[in-house]
Amino acid sequence: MNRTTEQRNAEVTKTLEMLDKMPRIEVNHHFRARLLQRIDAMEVRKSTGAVVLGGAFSPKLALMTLLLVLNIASAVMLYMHQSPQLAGASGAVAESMSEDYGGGPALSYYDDQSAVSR
Amino acid sequence: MVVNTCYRFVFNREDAEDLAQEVFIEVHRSLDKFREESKLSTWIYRIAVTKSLDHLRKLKRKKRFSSLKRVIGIDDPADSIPAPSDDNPADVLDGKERVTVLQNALDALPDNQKTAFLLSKQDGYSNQEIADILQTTIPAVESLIHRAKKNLQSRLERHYRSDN
Repeated sequence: MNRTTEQRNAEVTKTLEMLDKMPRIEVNHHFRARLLQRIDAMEVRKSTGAVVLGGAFSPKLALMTLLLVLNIASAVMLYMHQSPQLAGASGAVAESMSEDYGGGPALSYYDDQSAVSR
Repeated sequence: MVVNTCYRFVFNREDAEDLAQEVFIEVHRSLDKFREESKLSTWIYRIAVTKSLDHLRKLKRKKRFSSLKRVIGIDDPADSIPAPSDDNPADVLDGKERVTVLQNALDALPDNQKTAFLLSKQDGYSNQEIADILQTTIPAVESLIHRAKKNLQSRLERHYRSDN
């Protein structure tokens, strides 16, 4: 069925009128009790949380903790970054020692047993 | 008044009551942040409007998700639309459909137009109060209401034209 413009306009008006006809609602008689109960529960949770944290939690404390964590993390990063250099340094010491004591078979057997038999 | 304000936005009694509860909890929680730059009632209604718009946004996301679920073959029984109580089943069905059409048209409006229009439809809100809630001027509110009406009209006309 094809609607005429008048019919369409009537439908639009009828639909928009629904907003004017919307009834005012009265709240459920439990509304106030439920609300007070929720607020009480919230208060209890808040006070419990304060006790757990010793009431000392503040943005200042959070910032200090964050800075401490960052400090520790950067120290660990720095240490990990320097470790391969330390290993390299110990390798260089070993090399210089072997040069000092020469490459002769008398001492090299500690490293390579086959060198003695030669 | 808070419940009725929320009801205007969500068209559902239970949701409106839940939202009103959230509003009063928020008021209780942030009362110390209230700076008396506006009336306490205006501040409360602003919270009510924000909560209602948030709720509508959540519903929209849920709707999108449930249509996706329908596409991939999972049914969603949560889609229930409230209807005005009526004895005649045909009228109930017609009312239900009309509410859905109206809700969809309202959903498509920008938030500020929707808010200004819905508050203007509710008794007890003057344009000055709506302007205070929206933190704007009275001429801006009048313009928002005018544009909202125009947009709704054209959306509904389009709907009933395509419904032929």
